[in-house]
Amino acid sequence: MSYNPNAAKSIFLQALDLASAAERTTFVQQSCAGQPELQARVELLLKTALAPDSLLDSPLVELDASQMADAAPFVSMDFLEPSDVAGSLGRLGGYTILDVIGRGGMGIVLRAMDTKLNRVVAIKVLAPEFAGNPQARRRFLREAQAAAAVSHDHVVTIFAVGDNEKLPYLVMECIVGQSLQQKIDKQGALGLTEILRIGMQIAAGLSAAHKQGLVHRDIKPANILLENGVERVKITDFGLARSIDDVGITVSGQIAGTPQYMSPEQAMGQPVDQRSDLFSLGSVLYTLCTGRPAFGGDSAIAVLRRVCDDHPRPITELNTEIPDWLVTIVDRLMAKRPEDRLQTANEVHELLQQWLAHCQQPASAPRPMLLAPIGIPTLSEPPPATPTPRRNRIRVWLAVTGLLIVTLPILMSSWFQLWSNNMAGLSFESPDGSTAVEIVGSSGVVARQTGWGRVIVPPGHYGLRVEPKPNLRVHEIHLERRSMWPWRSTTVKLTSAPQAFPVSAGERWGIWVTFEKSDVSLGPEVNEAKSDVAGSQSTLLENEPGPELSDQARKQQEDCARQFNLPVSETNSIGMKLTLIPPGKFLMGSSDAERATLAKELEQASEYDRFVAQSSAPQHPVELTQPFYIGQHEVTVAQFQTFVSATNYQTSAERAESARFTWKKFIPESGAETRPVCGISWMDAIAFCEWLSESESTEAVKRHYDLPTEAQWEYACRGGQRAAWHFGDLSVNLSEYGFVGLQTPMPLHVGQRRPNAFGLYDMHGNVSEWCRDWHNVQFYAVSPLQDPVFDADPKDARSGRVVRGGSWNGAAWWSRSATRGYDSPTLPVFSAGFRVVRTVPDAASVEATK
Amino acid sequence: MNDVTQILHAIHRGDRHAAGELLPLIYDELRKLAARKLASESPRQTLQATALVHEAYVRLVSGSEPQDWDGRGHFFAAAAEAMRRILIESARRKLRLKHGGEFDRIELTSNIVDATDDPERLLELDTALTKLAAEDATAAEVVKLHFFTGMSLDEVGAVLGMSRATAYRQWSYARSWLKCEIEGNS
Repeated sequence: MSYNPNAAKSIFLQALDLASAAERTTFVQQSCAGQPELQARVELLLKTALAPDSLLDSPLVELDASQMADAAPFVSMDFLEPSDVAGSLGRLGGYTILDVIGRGGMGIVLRAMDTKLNRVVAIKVLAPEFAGNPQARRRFLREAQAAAAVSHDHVVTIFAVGDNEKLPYLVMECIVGQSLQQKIDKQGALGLTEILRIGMQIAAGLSAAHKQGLVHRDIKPANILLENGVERVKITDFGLARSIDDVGITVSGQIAGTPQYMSPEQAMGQPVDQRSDLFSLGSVLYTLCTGRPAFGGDSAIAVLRRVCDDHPRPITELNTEIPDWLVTIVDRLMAKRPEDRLQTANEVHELLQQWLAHCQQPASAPRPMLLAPIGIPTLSEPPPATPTPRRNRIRVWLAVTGLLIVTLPILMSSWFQLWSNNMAGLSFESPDGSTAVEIVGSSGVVARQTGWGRVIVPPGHYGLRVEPKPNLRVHEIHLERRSMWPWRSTTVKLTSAPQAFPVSAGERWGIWVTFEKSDVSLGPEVNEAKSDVAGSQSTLLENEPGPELSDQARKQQEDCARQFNLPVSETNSIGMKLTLIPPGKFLMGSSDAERATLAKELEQASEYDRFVAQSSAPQHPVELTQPFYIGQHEVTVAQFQTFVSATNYQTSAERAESARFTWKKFIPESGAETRPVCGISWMDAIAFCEWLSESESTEAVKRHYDLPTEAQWEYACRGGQRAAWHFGDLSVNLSEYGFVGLQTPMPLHVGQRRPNAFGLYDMHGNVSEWCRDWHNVQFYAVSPLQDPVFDADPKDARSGRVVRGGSWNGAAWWSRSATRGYDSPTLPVFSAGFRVVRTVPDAASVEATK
Repeated sequence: MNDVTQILHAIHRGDRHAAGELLPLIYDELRKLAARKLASESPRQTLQATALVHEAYVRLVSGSEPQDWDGRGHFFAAAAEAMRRILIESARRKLRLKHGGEFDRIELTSNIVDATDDPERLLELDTALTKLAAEDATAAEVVKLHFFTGMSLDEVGAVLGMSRATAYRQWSYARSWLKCEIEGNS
């Protein structure tokens, strides 16, 4: 190609706008002067543009439903090379791909012909979307190697492991038949003989894998294949199997696998061994007996919790035909503690084989020994003594302590004491000093404590009882379980007190209860504060922003200005208008009524949305003791440009290779300077504040700019208004005061809509605004009543810095005065900008007045 | 947060791998929707691609949308890609049957009304589109949305954040480009 396609496009588009053919011809000739190839191209494009086209001019808007529904499950076939064989999808290495069998968690399974050996094989290819991820790739190859090491009748054979540069793949035996899952879906519960036959074969396959040091980790009906005709069991998809020596990944604590069949130790992210597979096998047997999985639930988390804490419904309640001895076998496999289970797959295999023989030929095959059932500890029964032989434990401990005694004497000794005395430690805390938390054991209350407490208990099941005062209710209960060796910490968050949780020897548990205020009645001090706020603003609670609101706000601003001898508004060195906000009290957060309305609106919303909506509770009185200046507008592109020109600052987005946009995106457009800057991270906003503080400070007067705290932002936004928005509760009026829910690709110029009572613009919508605080869902329950800010690093990677006010492209509810969104501080958020606050009086003047 | 919403967030946050995860989910949802329609209504009915894509959007995203990010564009772009694949796959299958490449001859009536009665031409178009995407990604994106999901150019503009006029101009250019490419090859 000897012309520039972009030039061709541009000339073509300009020519298209011209009305007559003659004009177009002249224009093209002029534009392409001296470039005959370009001219020919543009002329061809123009000629083609005018010619009709049967295909292109009738977009494919209608299609046959059956054809759609029959389309193969999604597979990207870009990695295949073309093949000459008719009907083939393509070629991969020496294999001709015939069709797609399925798509699993990490890979695609293809049916293929091995052209050399002329046999049909199945090829599992790492899904292309994972190919770029080195960890996934490594894991896939490790899976392949691990699985290839096992050769057994009941394990799918691996023929080869390949890597076609783009994607690694694994060639294996092609099983013609169905999966156990498909069989259960069709048939429901199976007959006794069939259950035993299938269970026995799974156990045999597992036993072979376990001898190679492998744990399958994902035993479930979908991974058990049944060969057509003979119905021989083949275990497939060692998708998550890893050598148990490979501590590297185990330690990362990532939960992988299907929760319904997962063992409790796997669910808790603890290291697993072969006995984890035996739990899953038990779960599969349970499903075969009853036709349904042992642990159901609405979400993965709910299932995980049930796997850890619940006992499934007794099999005999669901299927009376299952004999007691089989129920006991399943129970023993599904024991919560690995040491209570049957210990090896071989043992299970032999047991099931004996029972099968006995069932088929009761006369010749003797009845196998019955297993002892395990006691299921409940609150009404004493927990069983731990069956682990004591001697073994001490031997291990001697070895371990030998190493650790030098480095960790204090830490270890308390744990060691717990452990060696076969005890566990529970510490618990409720921030409300007058509400007691009770730990209930099998024989009644073992501890009752207000504030912080600790108790040493024997292992067993314990429950929690919390009876908060009438004005409080339980907000959340964190149960953190810590074991020392191997060191592990898992936390579960609950919204009501747990009936029973299992505590093992040597563990320490941290229990943290938080409360929220219920509106039934408020405690005396809260009541006082609330009535105080309400009293001073009783005229301002109307739904519509009456002129009184603005009058009152203006009066407060003027009083404050006089008192501190400051202007109500001023323009700073970069042309930014700042408005004085007087000190005062307000109710921060959303009322129960507001949240109830919102909850209904957000019933179908995402978890994140509901979490954000819920995090604006409880509503609580806050006093800001100092006046401050706040930007009348969001920081504009022009102001940000001044900062960048002065410092050559590069924003997070500009430093990141992958960012799709930077704040500069809007610069070439004329008039962009008065759009709010957006696409910047919290760090960028802070850098701006630091620069501005420095550039306006002198020896004599130090000026301090910052992001507003959440409390400052909400107070300034409300302007005395307690309704959902600063103008009232009716979202239909939102368009008068802010931009939300628009589909424009960028925010609008600042100050286009009506201001709030304090004279601030775009508090609702346009760009969402970064605040100083970290987002913390508990903060409101414990927040100080004066000048609150949550700035301490929460050490929680999932948390982020608060973003307020919603955005032009966001939903209306996001722009409410109380809504607290959040994002990672280093993340350039497309729709986020900021406004600044300046503290008053300036630092130096404070010194001077002293 | 459901999968799709979560992925849209991740894409928005610059996660390069996330886009790849979106496509299969939408693809499979489109298939499921078609299957459900088939089960509940008369067989062999025709579906409006646009309606189908919008229904998928409502089911997968809209409960939790719109919020602090521009998820619509990503969603519809992926949906258009999914529709493209379904249509192309169907055209390939048809072509294979035509050439007698499959053992079981499945009776297929006109699967896609009008255009894919000429599956060869559709496959040519798709090849050309792949080339266009390499040279001019925006124009190719407009084609995918307009041609494969049947969205109007107004809607395409809204989804891609461009004015109707711009969407129309991109389409005109892409249309000529593709036509030149196809006709130049044949």
